[in-house]
Amino acid sequence: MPNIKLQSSDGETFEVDVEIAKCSVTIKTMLEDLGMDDEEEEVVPLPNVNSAILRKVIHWATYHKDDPPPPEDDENKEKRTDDISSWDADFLKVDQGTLFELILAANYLDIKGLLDVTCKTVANMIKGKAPEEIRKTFNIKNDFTASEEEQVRKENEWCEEK
Amino acid sequence: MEEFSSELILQKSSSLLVPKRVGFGYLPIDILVRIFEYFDEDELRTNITRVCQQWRAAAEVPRLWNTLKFQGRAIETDLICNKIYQFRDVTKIIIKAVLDPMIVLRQICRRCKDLTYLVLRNCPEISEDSLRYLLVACKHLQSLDLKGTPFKALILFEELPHCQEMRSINLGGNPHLSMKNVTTLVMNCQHLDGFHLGSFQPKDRVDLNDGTCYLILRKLVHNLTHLTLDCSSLSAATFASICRCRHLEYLCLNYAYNFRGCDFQNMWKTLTKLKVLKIRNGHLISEINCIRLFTEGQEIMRNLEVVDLTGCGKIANGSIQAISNCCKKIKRLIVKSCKHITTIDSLVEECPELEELNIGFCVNIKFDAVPHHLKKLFICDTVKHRMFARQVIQQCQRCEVRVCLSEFNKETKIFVYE
Repeated sequence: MPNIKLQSSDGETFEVDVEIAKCSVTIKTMLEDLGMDDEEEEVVPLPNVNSAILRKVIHWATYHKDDPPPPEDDENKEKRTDDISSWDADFLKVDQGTLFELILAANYLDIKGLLDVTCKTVANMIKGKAPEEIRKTFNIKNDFTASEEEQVRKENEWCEEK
Repeated sequence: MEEFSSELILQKSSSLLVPKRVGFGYLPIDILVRIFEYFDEDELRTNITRVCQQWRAAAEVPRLWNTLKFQGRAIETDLICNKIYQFRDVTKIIIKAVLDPMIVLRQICRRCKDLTYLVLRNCPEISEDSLRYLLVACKHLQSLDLKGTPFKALILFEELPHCQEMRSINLGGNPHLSMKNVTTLVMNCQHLDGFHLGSFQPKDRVDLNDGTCYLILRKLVHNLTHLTLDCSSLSAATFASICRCRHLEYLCLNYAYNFRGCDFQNMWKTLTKLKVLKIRNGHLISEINCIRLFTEGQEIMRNLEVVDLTGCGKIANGSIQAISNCCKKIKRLIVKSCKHITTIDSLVEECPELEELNIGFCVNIKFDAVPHHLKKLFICDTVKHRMFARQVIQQCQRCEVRVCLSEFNKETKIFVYE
């Protein structure tokens, strides 16, 4: 299998099997668009992914290289979050900063499988929590002014039974 | 070459520019929307929109909203109309007990041409014109639920046949409704698979007679999947023909005074698709009948998700045990006013998916086991019930407890432990 070199934002170069690298639609399209030849010693720069995250992404992609292509998004299908494989669940036992960076990287590299599973993980962390608990979990600042907060509260009390 | 390719990557995705600030509060909107796709509208509304500005902006993307729900007289009509405008691509709208239903209806007619599902319950009377306008404007309506909202519009019964896609109608609790209206409706709409004529309170009861029911059931027998009827004046013969509607998945019979025990216990032989079974005030149904339904019919009845036997006064512990053994998927169990029941322990042990339990006015229960996963509990105002509610809340913090106020209607108030 021919290899390809990926360069992270901090300058580290990773040599990866082309087929594995192509699970990133961004890289795949680029190789096709630019007609990058397998034989050329080309380095693909990924200015938005640092080496720690790129290493993790390659780890994920290598494990999932033989997966069937993920199904297209179906608007009507009910979305579940309880179907994360145990390997993925272990893989995503990381600190929040890493999870955050992984989501951005999956989005930027356009790796649907990784984006889905990271989004599901975050969804599971949000489920069933009140706004204040969510803010605490993710260390989010409440940036509503008092009057905005009152407005949002009022607007969202559409159907609270008393 | 290298410079060119990195520029190309830079244009690929809107969120590839690293967010100015790091942290989940600043995730790009398109990624937040992806995450929020895993939530229903209730959770978006009550929790997610209130976290921070960025999350609110993402949570209010119309694509995430399929259903709008409004309930309560306190909501300003303007707010409802604004929300309908904001989310005009929704296909379902549920409105309960709002102050000014006609203004809301007008807004729906103007904005939501593709609406398929409308609930307008327990509102003040609406006019003939507003209903006519609705049926003309929203041509794709498949389900119309006007339970508890009175209207005099004869036009509805004449216009409805033109609504080709209409499949389900709920006209319960309308004091203006006559048997003639019901007959006209059913004769004109033979494609209905959902037919609901049930009241919340005895005073709104629509007293169907055997003759009208005969017509309804004869016309709809091959289609009916969902049926609700007020049955106080119906004879045993009508109950027997209801049990012949083989496609029923949802059956709700209020005031089922004359439902014979033998028909009840053999329901499973014909109603093989039932998921929801509500037989209220079945005075003829004995403990033995109920046990036999859930033991002999175990293979069929185990698909039930909702069982409501409110006011079936003869059932007791044997029935609860039989239901626990049979219905492993049960989510809601209502045994309000079944006073012979003295224990519900088997439910706690054997029905892991039970989310809602109503034991209002079951004053003889001795509580022992405490359920872990309840989301909703209905009790009545006795010392034992209040103690039990307190234990349940300690076990399941998110459980909502309500106190039933009457044996004869559904009035409740929220339980506050002092």
